[in-house]
Amino acid sequence: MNNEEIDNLFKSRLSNYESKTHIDNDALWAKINNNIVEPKQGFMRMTSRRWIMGAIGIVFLAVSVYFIYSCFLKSDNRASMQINKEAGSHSDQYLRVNPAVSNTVVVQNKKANNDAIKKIEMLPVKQHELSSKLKASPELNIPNAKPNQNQASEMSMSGKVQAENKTIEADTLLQTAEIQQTAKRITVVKKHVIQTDTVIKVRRVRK
Amino acid sequence: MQEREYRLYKGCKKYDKSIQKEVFEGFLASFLAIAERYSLSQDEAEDVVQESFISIFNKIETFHWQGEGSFIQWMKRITTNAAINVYQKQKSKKMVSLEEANFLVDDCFYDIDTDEISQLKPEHLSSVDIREDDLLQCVHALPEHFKIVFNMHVIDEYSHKEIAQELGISEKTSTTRLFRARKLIQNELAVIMKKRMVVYE
Repeated sequence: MNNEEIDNLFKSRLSNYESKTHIDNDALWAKINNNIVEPKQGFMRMTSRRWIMGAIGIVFLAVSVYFIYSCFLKSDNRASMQINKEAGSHSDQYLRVNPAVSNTVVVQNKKANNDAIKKIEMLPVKQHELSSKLKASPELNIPNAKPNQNQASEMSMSGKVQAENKTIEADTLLQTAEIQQTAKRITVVKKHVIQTDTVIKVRRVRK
Repeated sequence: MQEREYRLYKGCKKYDKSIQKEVFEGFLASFLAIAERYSLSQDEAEDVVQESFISIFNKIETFHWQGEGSFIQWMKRITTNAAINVYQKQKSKKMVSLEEANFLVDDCFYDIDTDEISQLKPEHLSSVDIREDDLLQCVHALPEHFKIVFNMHVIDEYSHKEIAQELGISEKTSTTRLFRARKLIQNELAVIMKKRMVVYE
């Protein structure tokens, strides 16, 4: 007999061989049955390690979302906006800005000449000063207003800024800036930290 | 057959007690035979079977169905591994004296009757009634370190690489042990058949 024949003989006869030894089945099954651990279902199945990993994941996700959101708003600040020339003398455009990220918003009319490029700079101002200005006059004329300290040079170049609503609250700061076409630059007085959904209404006025 | 096997697998996966008991009752004798083949005592064999079934039922989610026979093969592999683990533990506890070791070496190299081997022909296997008990007797007659290699490679289809990893030996050692185990098996088988033929005559 060669090796292969030996192997085949043992393989075929013993691989499916069943023991004839008698053992107490019930006792053995009882022992086995007591040790079967059914896994928990759903969230209960998670080990403490998985909970920790999950929490870290959520925090990481939140930071990522915040980062992306911030970047998006920042780019939104720089977004170009075309002023509609076709819609008569007054055409209203809405621009979403986030002064908390950047103080600069560019309003661009690509079809018009370079003078149509408007730049609105939002400067930080103390809330109580802004509130007093807004309450004092619904039509806020910046050249006449007394700028405080560092804002003086910016204020002197500004155009006409109106508060649309007389009862405007300093913390909402929904304002309308009326921009003359020839004005290259105006200054809108805003609170330093502002809600991201602040809307500035930009109105183009034909001369 | 496949339907039954798949039904058992699905039932085990759902932790169905009645199916688990059906698996236990259906494969107990088979798994016990594996444990006994690795030359464990009756108590150790029962422990191996118990551990195997617990592992099978608790680790069922790690198994992925791959067609007919895969579930049974997986269960057998778990039992074999459990038996090998027990063997390894025994081996680490067992201290072999120098005289005993010499006896084992002598037994391996010199106790082979070449005349009886040469007389043994395949046609004898069909003429003489070879029972499974005879084959088990041949296996149990092997020294421990030959027996485990022979069991793993020939019957449980482990490769030499797997045997080397499981037992912590080199592949060459595994090959050598298998070669010698076969020689001893042939010798033992020849003796059994010779006795049987004498009885028939």
